[in-house]
Amino acid sequence: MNAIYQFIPQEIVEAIGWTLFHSIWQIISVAILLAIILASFNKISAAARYIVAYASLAAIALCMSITFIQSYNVAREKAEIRKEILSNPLIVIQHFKESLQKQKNMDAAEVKKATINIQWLLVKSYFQRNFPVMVVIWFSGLLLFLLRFAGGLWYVNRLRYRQLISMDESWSQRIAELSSQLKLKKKVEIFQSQLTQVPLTLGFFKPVILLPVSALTGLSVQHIESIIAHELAHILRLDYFLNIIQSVFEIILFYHPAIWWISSVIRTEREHCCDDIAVQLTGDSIHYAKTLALVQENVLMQQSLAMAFGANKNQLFNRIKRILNPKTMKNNFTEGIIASCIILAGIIGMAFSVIPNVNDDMRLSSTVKKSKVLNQSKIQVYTKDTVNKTQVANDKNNKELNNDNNDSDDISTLLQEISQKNNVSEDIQKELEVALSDLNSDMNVEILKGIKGAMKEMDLNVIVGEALKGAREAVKNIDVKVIVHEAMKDARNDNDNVDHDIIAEEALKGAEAALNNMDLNKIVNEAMKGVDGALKEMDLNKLIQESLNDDKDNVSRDHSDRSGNKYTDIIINGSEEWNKWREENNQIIPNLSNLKIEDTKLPKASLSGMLLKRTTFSNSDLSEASFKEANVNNAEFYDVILEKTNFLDAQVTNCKFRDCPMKKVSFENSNLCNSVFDDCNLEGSDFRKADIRGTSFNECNLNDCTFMGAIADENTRFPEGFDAKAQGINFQE
Amino acid sequence: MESIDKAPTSAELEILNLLWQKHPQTVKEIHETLMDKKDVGYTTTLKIMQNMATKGIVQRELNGKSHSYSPVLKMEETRGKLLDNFLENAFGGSASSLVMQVLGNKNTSRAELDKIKNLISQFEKGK
Repeated sequence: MNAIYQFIPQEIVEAIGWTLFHSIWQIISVAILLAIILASFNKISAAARYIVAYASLAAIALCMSITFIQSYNVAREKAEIRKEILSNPLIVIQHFKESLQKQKNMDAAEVKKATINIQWLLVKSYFQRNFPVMVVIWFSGLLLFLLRFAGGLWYVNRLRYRQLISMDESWSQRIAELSSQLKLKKKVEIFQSQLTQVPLTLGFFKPVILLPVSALTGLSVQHIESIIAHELAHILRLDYFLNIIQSVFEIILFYHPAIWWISSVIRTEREHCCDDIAVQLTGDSIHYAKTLALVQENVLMQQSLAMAFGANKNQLFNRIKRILNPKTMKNNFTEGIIASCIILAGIIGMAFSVIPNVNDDMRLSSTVKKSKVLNQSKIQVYTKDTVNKTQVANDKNNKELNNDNNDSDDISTLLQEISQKNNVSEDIQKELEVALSDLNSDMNVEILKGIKGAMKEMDLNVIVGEALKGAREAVKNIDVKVIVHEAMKDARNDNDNVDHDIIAEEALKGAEAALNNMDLNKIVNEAMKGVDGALKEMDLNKLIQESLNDDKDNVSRDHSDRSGNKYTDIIINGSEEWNKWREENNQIIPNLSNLKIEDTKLPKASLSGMLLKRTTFSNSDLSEASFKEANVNNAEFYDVILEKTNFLDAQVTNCKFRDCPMKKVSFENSNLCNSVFDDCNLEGSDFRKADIRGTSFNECNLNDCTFMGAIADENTRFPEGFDAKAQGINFQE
Repeated sequence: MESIDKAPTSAELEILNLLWQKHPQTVKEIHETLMDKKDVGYTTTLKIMQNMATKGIVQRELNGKSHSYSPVLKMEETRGKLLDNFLENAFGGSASSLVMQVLGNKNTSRAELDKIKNLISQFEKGK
């Protein structure tokens, strides 16, 4: 159904939708008002009743035009905001924060108002989603009725010219006389027509009266004069033209029963008006009534029997009763005008009662605009700040992480800076650019999805959900940057001093900054002006806080994913399952950095080649486990059984070993720089060719250890009474 | 509004079309042309054409031994009437609400008319 937007702009669909929606109660109200007026002023003339009924059509037109224009303006504003957000999704970010702030400052009355607003918004959003269907159905009906209308006009036009028989000249003279009595200036022609069974009038500029062929045989001259008087009254009152306007109302508002009722009231009163004029002109109401009865008699005689079962609404009967009863025939236009004024005033009042809702929407858009300006300036400050910080820090890899929220211009500026400062090669720069632009577009798509959904739905839950989804997605994308950094680092062949962990930390910071600014929810909050008050506000805050935490977790886990989060589930089940998994997935080198491994039985676990930086092991069994070629820098071991554990060729710098039974551990050819052993029993361990510069062995049992080829320096601390040189340790200056 | 007298049926119109193209024609000639398009019995064609002559749509004249037929209705006129018929059927309802009729655009039943007559005669007596 949304394909309709290809043919009709969304704003128009929305405006039509609201106009149709409001027309339901508007027209009903007008009809009720009309019924009340007609019932309470039942003594007023037909002319006055006709004016009131027609005025109610005008009132409906006025109501609906106002609704349409207002809705269209609102829809256009919304489209503008949509466009703004599409071009710069960051606008969104600030608003949510602001609205949260506002909520805190709201008093009870405002909260209550906001509560009502959100319900109204929910109703609105429901209808708005269904507008395309509604408009398509209405449009189809409109086309059908238009077709019928056009066909009718075509036939009427043929009636005007086809199968006519001209009448005696005396009739033209009679018409001229009657016309002058009515002060009717138009020239009216009269014909007999083979196409009609009843006398009728048509045409606006060149009106004609058509009599059926049977008329001249079945009716007397006086009868025909009465008929002509009635038809001249129609012409005098411009009824043909006004009836076409009325038909247009019927076509446009075909779906509304009240319109058909109003229309039938107008038709009835119109005939009454002409009856009044005709009776006045001919001066004999009984004769006039007889004429109508006679014409009807002729019609019934020509019609088939089936037609006799036609709707018995007593319309003609009532008309004739009215003609014969002169009480109701006073001609009082003033009354009608007063009544019309009442109806119009009532209607205008109703029409304007719609406007407050409309204004709510307006307010939303203006706030969005305001905060947009605000937000842009903040972004600029933020960017400068970031640049300064990164320059001071002189950390060439982490700069753009903080720029998560800046648009591509800022990113490219930064990229230039990076390249100037660090002479990054062109290829890497290009890669970085692509990666960042991809990231940006990915992020935009997600955010836009969120916002678009939000704008459409105007639904708190959906918006919060979508926004968080967008934020999460954005945070996930940050990993792309880390990858880029790592690629950059590898490419530049930087040494170990650039720590992955710093990058991760910066990534986290970036993510957090991103999240802080990524609260898309503001739109709703703007719209809702504070949603459901303090309670809801708290919930919302909680929700956002939770999601923030959530996303932080996601980031740390995602980061440690390269670092191993999904493996923890396996490793806590013990070494058997772990080793089995490693055998099956021998191409994967898991990253368990930054994890805490407690109370885990991992004897003979295979941890070879793995990343275990900053991993904390405590109260676990790692006896006979293999850390061969693993990277355990900065890891900590408390109360861990490490007997016969193998650290062959491992990176074990800056580690802490406390209270660990470590008999017969192999540290052969490992790097133990700056590691600390406290109260560890290292009896019979192997330190051959190990790098023990800066390593401390406090209160350790080093009996029967081999240190052949190990390298120590003046910072290496050995237990008292340990003769390092006798063990074959080389000391570097 | 009424339907047109002598309105030709679709079968009659088919024959009329042939007669408009060329006339006069005999039943045999018409039948042969019709046979090119569809299978019709000679008797059927003859009956239709006799019917048309009775309705006054065509006129018959003795031409030597055989009867030959010519159209009475003019082509434009007939087509116009058919269009009128069609429009009346399709849009008569719509049109009747677009013109100003003396009786209004609601149907009146015989019973209502009787009621009306009663009312009028009561009034006449009252006076």
